Amino acid sequence: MKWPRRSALTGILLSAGIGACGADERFLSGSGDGGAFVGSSSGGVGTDSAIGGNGNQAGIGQGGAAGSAVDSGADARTDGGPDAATDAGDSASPDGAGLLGSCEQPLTGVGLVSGDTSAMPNDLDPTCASPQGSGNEIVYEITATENGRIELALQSSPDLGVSVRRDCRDATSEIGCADTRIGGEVLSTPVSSGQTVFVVVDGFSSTQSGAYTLDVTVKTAMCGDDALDGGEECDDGGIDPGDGCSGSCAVEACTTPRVLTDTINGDTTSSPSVMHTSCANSLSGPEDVYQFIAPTSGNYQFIVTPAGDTDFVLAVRPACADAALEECADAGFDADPETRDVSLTANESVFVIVEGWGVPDAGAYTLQVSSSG
Amino acid sequence: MADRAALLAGGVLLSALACSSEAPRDIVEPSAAARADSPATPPARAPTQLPQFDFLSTPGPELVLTKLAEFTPEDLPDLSLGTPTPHPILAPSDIEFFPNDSGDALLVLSTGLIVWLDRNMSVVSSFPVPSSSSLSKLGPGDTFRDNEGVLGLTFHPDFAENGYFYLHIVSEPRGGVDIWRLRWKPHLVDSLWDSAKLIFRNDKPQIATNPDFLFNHNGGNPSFGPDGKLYVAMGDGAIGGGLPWSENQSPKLNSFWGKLVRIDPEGIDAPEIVAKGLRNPFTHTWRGDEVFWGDVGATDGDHWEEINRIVVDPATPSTVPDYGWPAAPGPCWDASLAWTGVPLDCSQYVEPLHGYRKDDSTYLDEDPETGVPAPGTVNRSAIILGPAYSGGAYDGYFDDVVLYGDLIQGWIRGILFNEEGTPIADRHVVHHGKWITGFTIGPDDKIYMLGGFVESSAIFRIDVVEPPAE
Repeated sequence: MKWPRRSALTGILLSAGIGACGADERFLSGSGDGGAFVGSSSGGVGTDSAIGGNGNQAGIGQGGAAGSAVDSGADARTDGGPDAATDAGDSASPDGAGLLGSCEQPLTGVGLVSGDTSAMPNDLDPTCASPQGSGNEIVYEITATENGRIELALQSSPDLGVSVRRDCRDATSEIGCADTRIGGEVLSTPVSSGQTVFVVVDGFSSTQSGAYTLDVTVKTAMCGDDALDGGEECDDGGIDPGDGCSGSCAVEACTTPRVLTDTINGDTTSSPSVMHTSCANSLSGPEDVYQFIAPTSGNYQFIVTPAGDTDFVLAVRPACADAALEECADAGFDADPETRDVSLTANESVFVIVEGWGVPDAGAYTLQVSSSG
Repeated sequence: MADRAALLAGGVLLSALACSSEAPRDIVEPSAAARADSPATPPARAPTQLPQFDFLSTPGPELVLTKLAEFTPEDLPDLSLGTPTPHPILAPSDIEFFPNDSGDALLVLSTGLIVWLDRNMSVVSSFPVPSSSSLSKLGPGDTFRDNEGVLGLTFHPDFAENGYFYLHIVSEPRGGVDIWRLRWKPHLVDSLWDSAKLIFRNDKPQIATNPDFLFNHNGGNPSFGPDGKLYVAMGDGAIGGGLPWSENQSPKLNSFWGKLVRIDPEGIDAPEIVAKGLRNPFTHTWRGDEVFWGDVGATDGDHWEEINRIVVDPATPSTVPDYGWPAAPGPCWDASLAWTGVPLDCSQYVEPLHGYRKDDSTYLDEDPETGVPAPGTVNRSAIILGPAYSGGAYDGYFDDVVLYGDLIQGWIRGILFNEEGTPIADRHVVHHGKWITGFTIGPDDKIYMLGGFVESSAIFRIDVVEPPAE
């Protein structure tokens, strides 16, 4: 892909440079005037490009002064594949590797920024873009300095979406994606202190590219505000303990999980709904949490069998309140058993979550674990 | 193909929605004396349309139908037998957008295929409705005929929480109506039917001198009311075709045929009849707690297409209003249609809010792209009711307007009702031509129209023509 060296970069430079209004000052840190996020050195847009900045200006990269980022991006341009691993869903041979606004040269910014994807590469495929493939994209890199969440509001005439991922070239690391057709996009994703995430502004399909504005605001974590922040395991909108989510926004069931050894009967009818497994509906039902410690190394099979016509999902994860590495099973519907096989070493602990697929899904079940050799 | 299409178009579709094929020919026309005795007093004028108005008082924006996608049988092969097979019939019956602003939609073909479309109206995937007889056999000479198969879809109002959607299906030839609930899981599209739960079944009594009549009048397009109940408009099922009118089940409260029925979406509570005396209410729409339906009229020619309305009371109704079929088709005062031979007491029937006679060409005359038809050439029609519009995409032009079209005549009009349900304006909106199958509202608040019948299925959007840039 040929890269129009200046015209596109003009848009990018402006995009990253327009103001930082609205950032939560408590969340700000970094070099110089301060920034809500610490930008990467390669993608840093010079402070000169910031328009209307103030003493609390966010989104200022650590990197170079005005102009240097432009040159850096352009010079870094290559058409070869990056060293970074690619994955299913993204281009295996990225055209944009090393370009300013690519994974290797991400922009930084917070507040209201604008840009144009028209002349950008098309390497990444967010999960909420067209199944036939997304359009060109621009990438921002953001590093949180406190626990909290990033709130993104995208406006564009072309059909663009916005997504957040932990690893820029790993689509499976995506932690949020918004791409509807009307009224722009809104997305909120939790971030933990020190965590770097990549914000991808992408066309819904290959024909969708153009100008946009992206309002990036950051919120400091606050337990009980009904929004999941970095550092929180749950947030049910309150701080009362005993309802499944503690006053410090920890999943109470993870503190004292029931122990699974072989077979156990359970019922989620009166269980809390404060967790969310990766294969349940976005609005899911109540859940039960179990801990299983493998007596010996080997393969284990977990099966949940509904007693009635409840639609359960089954998740097995190493960390009780973190879905990042979980194995999740949702292969059926009402009354169908769900099965997940995992390989464990002796004394390895995993947490098993039985969750209703949707909000109304609750009921009795049998959970069984067996060694499968 | 063309011959088949023409055959279907002329012989099946019209008989299905506007049909008269089951109309008994031994009906005793009411005598002149009986007409004179009718307590219904005809107007001094004998209009062939209910009151005409100037419609919306101000000229509206220039509107156009934008074609977004068109599918042929090769695009949407029949899957009902397990092997993708191009089938000459698509027979679209409904399109509904997911209630999640994704812009994705489900296109329903009465042949038994549900097509998942993305916001660009590109096919993402599809899944068949299984049937032991294969719904692909739709058409004369085959097992199924139109007005059978899959006749509508609606999403649960809490779809975001439960993923439920509902299908209105006649799954067996000459069979009854089943309402199925399914759960949408995008990663399990190929096995969605595994989630199906039958929540309502309305068996069809096989009583007719010619059972072939029984393919007809199965209603369609279910919807949710503000009370959270599922409303199913049921035609009279063409039950009793060729038999005395006393066999028609629309007036009978021991039958769900010819009724507006309110159903527990979980299928637990007993269904309730909300209105009776319906003929073939293929489409209906909501405005607050009012439901409007289009009732397709009988015999071609001097019968009527109706728009009816009821204000729904969440409480179980103590009485069920009668909308007249078959005793009083069309407006009760039209004594010429009082074909039961019995003097009518029109006070016992709810008159349609609006309507037009099948042989009236006024709406074609007002369609500038159709032109004035030759006298005596207009006698077929089938009303397709669209949404009661409350969105913001047309600068207020369609506020509270109920869109409606005619499947056969091909025009789209809008009608404005006041709060009492009295029509106060009615005017031509835009031209399409044959066939107008249904309407829906997109997540962009635009009005979408489903068109096509035999050989294609097309999706359109009503857009405002933007003035050229200076």
